[in-house]
Amino acid sequence: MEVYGYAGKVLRLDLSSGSIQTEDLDMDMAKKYLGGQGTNTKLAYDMIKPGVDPLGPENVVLLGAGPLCGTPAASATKVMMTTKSAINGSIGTAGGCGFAPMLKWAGYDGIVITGSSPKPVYLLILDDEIKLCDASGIWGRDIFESTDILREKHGKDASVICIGQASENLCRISLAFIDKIAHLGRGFGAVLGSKKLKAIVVRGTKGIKIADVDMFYKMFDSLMSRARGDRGRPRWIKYGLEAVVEPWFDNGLILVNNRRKVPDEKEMKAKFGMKAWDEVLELHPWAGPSCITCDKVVAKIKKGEFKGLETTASFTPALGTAFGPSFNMSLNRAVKCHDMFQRYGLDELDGAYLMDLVVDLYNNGLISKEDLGMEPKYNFETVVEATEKIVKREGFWGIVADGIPAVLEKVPGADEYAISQKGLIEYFDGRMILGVETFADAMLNPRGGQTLALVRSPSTAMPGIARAAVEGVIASSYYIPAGARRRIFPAEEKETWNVPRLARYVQDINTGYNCLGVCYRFIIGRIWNPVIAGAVYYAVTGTAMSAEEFMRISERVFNLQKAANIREGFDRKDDGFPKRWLTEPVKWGEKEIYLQDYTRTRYIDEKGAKAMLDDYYDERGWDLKRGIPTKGKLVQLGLPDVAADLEKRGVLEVQ
Amino acid sequence: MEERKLAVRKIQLHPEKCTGCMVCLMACSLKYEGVVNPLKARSKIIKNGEVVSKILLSPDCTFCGLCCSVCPYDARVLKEVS
Repeated sequence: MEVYGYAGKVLRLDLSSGSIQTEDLDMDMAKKYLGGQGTNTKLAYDMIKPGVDPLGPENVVLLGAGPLCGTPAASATKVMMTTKSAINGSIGTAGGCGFAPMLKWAGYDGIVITGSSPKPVYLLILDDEIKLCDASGIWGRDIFESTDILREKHGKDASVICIGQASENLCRISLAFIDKIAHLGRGFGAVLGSKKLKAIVVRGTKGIKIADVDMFYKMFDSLMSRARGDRGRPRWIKYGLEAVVEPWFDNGLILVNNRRKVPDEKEMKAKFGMKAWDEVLELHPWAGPSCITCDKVVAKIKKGEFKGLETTASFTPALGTAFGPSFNMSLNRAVKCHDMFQRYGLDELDGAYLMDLVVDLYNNGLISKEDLGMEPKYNFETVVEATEKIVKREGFWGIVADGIPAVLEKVPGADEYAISQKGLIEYFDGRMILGVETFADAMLNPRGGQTLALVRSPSTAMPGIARAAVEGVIASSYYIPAGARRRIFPAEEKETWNVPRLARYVQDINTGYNCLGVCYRFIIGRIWNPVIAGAVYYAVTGTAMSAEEFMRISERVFNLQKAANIREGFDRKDDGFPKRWLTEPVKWGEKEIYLQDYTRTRYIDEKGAKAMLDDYYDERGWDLKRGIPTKGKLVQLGLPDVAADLEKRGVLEVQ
Repeated sequence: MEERKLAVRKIQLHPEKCTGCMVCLMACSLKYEGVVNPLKARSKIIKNGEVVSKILLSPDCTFCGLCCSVCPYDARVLKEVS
């Protein structure tokens, strides 16, 4: 039978025995879960036994390429990695730009990785030639170096997922990198490290068939013209998300001193704004396969300290702001710190925040100079020294290497200082901005704080966006039933609207795009919508999918992910805002900013936070008391077997 | 009788605008080989490190212009010279 869109095969690798098998893609499963995050989540639910050690051989890694990956469908470039996180034990999916198209061109929709290798290896996939190779020559080398060596050996156009020394040394806050630039993050790099799988190299010379080429190009042209209609597009392409960093400073979104204070916006813009970038950096926009509005860059320092240093940035603001504002350093030095993290494969979001937290804990006497083997300060030298110590897991820094939960466990009283959601730090602070992105991640992401792409459509990661504008984006890029739209945008209110209720649909649609393999960064997310997704899916695969069906599959996969996490013990007690958001203001000059809703019309206390959770669970049709799907909801979504499994385990109440 | 002029087609290449998204190569392989795979295209994108340095056209390129019409970054432009 001709297969369109899908490659039609899945690869199974058992690292303990070294066995490699290929099998046909289960098309019934593909229809029910699409692919990418969907099929990964189904396999994770079936294969990852509740309670297993994320760094043990029983943990399973699923890599999935969605049905649109490997075609020129606009920005269908993302590979999905699903596993149990080493930081907080949640089961979730990380998506990163690249790898998926090349995997499809080699003939595979996914890879299932079990067991753990006795010695360092890498997986080589050259079409039907698949083997495990000795990685002793690259084990201990950084991500950039290792990727270059592997490409030199197996083809410059090969796509490579690779881990650095941080993951090898089982630092839980490590990442896997795709093609030296994109990330698979938040506790996932260390899982590959524990399996001694240094890299996966793929080069494919087969191809993907498209069912209806004429219709495909009609859809491509329509997406392209929607993208070209974006006046900001040239700026996104040149600077990536750095293009919005200056307004972020103006609105106090980037905080310092363990998220207590807004730094001086004029000084920040002068040091890390676009003008500083133009002066210091030579920028080359970088796109993953099929990305029509890229936001990644290859950056080279052209002037001043570290001149000639070349690095990559997936989330471009990180170049300057991951370390710059908090640790009082120049752009050149901030880029140097960023580059160290890139090469070692450390997560900047967790890593930079943890260093900030450590300085704060030290200043408040909770940890000593002796514990740390150094005197930590808010400066460049501290970041450089601490980075080396984290990667080598020296003394107390070995605890820092395992993330916020490890620090909270070892340092009594640290929970009064740390900000985290399910053990992960959120990029934005809810006290400064409580848009859909922050809310959905900070309270309710089954994986924990900030594990979805930052700044998504409708882009309420910037304050002050009028309700009418949000409604406009929702109308053109979402597919929300009229009743729900009235609940989100109540007619009796003019300015305010219901963030928690919208969060459900944002989570669902993002999950759906993760199943297809399509990017949803807001510059892309707002040109796609469920109707277009259905049409492109039909053109590519020849199988019809309505917008309703797309949303239903998205909701199914989200609920299945939640179900996998209920088995791990997560429920309503784990959802909610970090404590300090509710108890402490942020200082902005003379002002004190307390937690308030997106429209900044009301303050949020414990009671208000509870009401927000209730609204969200209600919109999901979940059990309000426990914050989990009801049996009825799971059955309605075509997951009766999951409901039965949860019932058997006594975690789902019989209604 | 209709007067017909011979048109010469030229593809202007701007590697400095190319981001390496390969939409052009994917479209080319789909048109001429029936499947999507940039390695089967009648053109190549050469990178120096992670940065695109050159765009090459194969001798069997027909100058059909499809790659130019789909390029999201205007790195290839089809010109007709009478």
